Amino acid sequence: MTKIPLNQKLLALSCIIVAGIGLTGYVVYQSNQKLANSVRWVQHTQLVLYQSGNILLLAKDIETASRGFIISNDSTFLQPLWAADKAFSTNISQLKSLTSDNPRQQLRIDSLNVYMKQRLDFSFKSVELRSNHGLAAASALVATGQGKRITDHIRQITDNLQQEESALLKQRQKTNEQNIATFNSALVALFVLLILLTFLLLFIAGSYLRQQQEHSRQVTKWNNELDKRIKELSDFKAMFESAPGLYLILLPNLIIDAVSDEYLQATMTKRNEIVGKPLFEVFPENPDDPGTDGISNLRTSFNTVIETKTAHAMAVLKYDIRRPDGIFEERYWSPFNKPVIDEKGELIYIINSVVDVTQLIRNEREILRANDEIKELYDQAPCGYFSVDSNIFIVNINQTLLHWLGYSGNEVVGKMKYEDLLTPKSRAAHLSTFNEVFASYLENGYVNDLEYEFQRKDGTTFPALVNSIAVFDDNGNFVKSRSTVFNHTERKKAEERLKAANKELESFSYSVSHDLRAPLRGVHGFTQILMEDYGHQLDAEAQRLMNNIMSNAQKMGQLIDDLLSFSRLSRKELVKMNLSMQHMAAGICNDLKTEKNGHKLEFKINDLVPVEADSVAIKQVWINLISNAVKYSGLKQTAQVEIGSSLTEGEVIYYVKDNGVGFDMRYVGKLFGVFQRLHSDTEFEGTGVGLAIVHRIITRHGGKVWAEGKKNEGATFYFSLPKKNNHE
Amino acid sequence: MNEDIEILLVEDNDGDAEMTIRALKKNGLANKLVHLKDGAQALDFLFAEGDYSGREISFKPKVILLDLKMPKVNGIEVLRTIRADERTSKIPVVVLTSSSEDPDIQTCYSLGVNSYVVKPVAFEEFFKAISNLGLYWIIVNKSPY
Repeated sequence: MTKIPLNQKLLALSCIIVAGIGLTGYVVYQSNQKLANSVRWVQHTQLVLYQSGNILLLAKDIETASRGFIISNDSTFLQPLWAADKAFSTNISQLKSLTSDNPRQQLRIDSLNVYMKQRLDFSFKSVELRSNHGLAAASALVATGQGKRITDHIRQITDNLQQEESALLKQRQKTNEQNIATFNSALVALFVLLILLTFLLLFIAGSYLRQQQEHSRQVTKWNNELDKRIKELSDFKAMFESAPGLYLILLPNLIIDAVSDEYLQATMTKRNEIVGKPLFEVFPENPDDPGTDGISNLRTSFNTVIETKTAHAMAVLKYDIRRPDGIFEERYWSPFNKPVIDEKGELIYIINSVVDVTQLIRNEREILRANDEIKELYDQAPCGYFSVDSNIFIVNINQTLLHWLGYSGNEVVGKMKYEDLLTPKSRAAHLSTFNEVFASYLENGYVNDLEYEFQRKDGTTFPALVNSIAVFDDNGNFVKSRSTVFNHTERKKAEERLKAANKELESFSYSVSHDLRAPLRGVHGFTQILMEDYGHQLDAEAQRLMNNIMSNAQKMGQLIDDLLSFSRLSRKELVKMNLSMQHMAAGICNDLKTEKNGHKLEFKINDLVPVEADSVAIKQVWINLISNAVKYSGLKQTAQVEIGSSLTEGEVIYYVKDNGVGFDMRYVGKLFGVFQRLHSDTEFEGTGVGLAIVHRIITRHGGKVWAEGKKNEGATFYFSLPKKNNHE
Repeated sequence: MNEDIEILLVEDNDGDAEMTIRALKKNGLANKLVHLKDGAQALDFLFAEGDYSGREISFKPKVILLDLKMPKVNGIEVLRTIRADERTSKIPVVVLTSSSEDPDIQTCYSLGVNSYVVKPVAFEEFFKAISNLGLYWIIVNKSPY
């Protein structure tokens, strides 16, 4: 069963069944034919019997008719005779054709025909006799009995004929029945066979269907698995392409097989443009970089991987990338090439994993450059740099300081302690206070402006100022100092020069103040004496002129005083302390009120922020500004002066506002210049030094001075001071 | 030469001296005034040396009006010398100067000056200043000896 495929079996069986059905049909048809034959034969026999019967009846009719006429001489009795004469030959010929296959019956029919004619002739003779010769003649004839014999013959023949037909019928029917029985048996056998075959067919078809279903289930399963595998594969592809890294899959012949998105992005290529192409065709070397060895290095690495079938990490590789516009971009890569080995141990792929380290390389380069620059700055600085470790050994020293000292780096670094660079005197002083100074250095993290005498290798010395910052590690342990050395020689010289110059200036000022003021006082004094002693002898004009002399002398004295105090400001050292501006301004206002008794003055002093500054100098600022405000408000009925301050980031701004004559903003630039004035002496007295002094003092404090005003609408003077004054 | 003295004026500038004396005179204070023209003379006078070697040293002025800027020996040196010598150390000294320079004031006070006056240029003020200090030192102040 198993050797022949089910579908062939099914086909064969189906053929057999179809043949069986055909055979059955044929048997049924045959059987039917027999049956129909049998029926035909019955009909045939009945027809023969009927026709032969008819002939007998006709014979009887002939006899009866002739008998009736003979008796009655009534021609109406002859009617059936005429009819029989006409009909019998038809009956005879029908019978003959019916029994054409049977020679014995043909003979009988022929005899019958003869006897029927004889019977008719006899009757006609008897009828003629009756008609022509009367009853007696006719009866005589009849009495011969000839007629009756003929009729008996006819009856005899008819009987024989009918008996033979009946016998034949019986025989045929028997044969037919036998045939039908045989057919029926065959039919039954065929049916049984067909049913069996059909069952077999159904069985086989059933198992075939089951097999088919099983198969189809298997196929579906396989399909599902295949789909899954396909999906897995495409997922893997997507995963690989989206992998966070730069990956290129190469065939052993270095044809690109797959590439990750990031690789494409980094190399400015497109997947469809590079996959399937040789690596070195896709990524050509930069023709403008004659020293490039990217391809040869990469090829060597691939060869190593192919030969050894082991991974190979490459050193950083310069491999420029051609942009879509054809220009090459400088790139550095860190490539890692790894083989993919199949089950048989054959190399099937090379994974080329790269990291774009261009930025790192650039940063590194930048760091190196910056380091060089720092080193250069360090070495070439106009001041000395050095570092000491926790044992105060020199660990770092710049060229400038080495140059000053006359040592080479090797002689100093790690070999000399800081104090070894000092003169014996300076060293002694340094060591005597070292513990104390070093403790505060560690605590504050810095130390400033320590003065030392350094001793050069050749024994000569130079003074220097040392500043140092302490460098600590993460645990707060001192690691090293970062110290600067300023060669004091020049500064010392400059300081001395400055001192000398200042001294000179002082004595000059002294002379000016003394020598110029004395004669002026003389001019003024003696003119006054002249007025007092001889005034009565002089006329009014002479007195006016002498007054002019005096006022001019006085004016000149004032000028000298102002000029001196202005020049003093530049030289006088500022002593900074916390100042209550509130008290200072209030005091000055009170003094001015007392002084200007009579003139109406209104001061409005808002909150004033305290500040760190030189007391004397700032007081001078307030005096000058407030008295200016009062002076230039002199023409008003009531002088109103407002004083206030505001805080901004890093500085305090103070202002003095008045309701005086104000000024034209076009000339604001002249306000703070020495001897610059916006009003004539006859309008308002003054030497033009007050605001210049304010400007000088505030500038020296690191602040600013400015003013706002409008003609006849008052003026506001501002000055700012740093919150924490570190300017000097 | 040995006579009572109230004011010793040491002033090289004749104009200033004349105006000073005039102011004091107007207040009747210049009767016992000696005017010397420089520091050297002043020291000789006070210590009875040189031209004044016959002078009685115990005749001390009630006040010395001392100019600072003078030829030969300047006012500060004079001040330092008389303060250093116990015979003269207690004599009130008023510095009269044209200079308003800081170092002078500081030096003078640290040397023990009793008063420091900057001579005003305007005569009225000068006159007033001299009158006031003359009256103060001669009339109001009680001298140490």
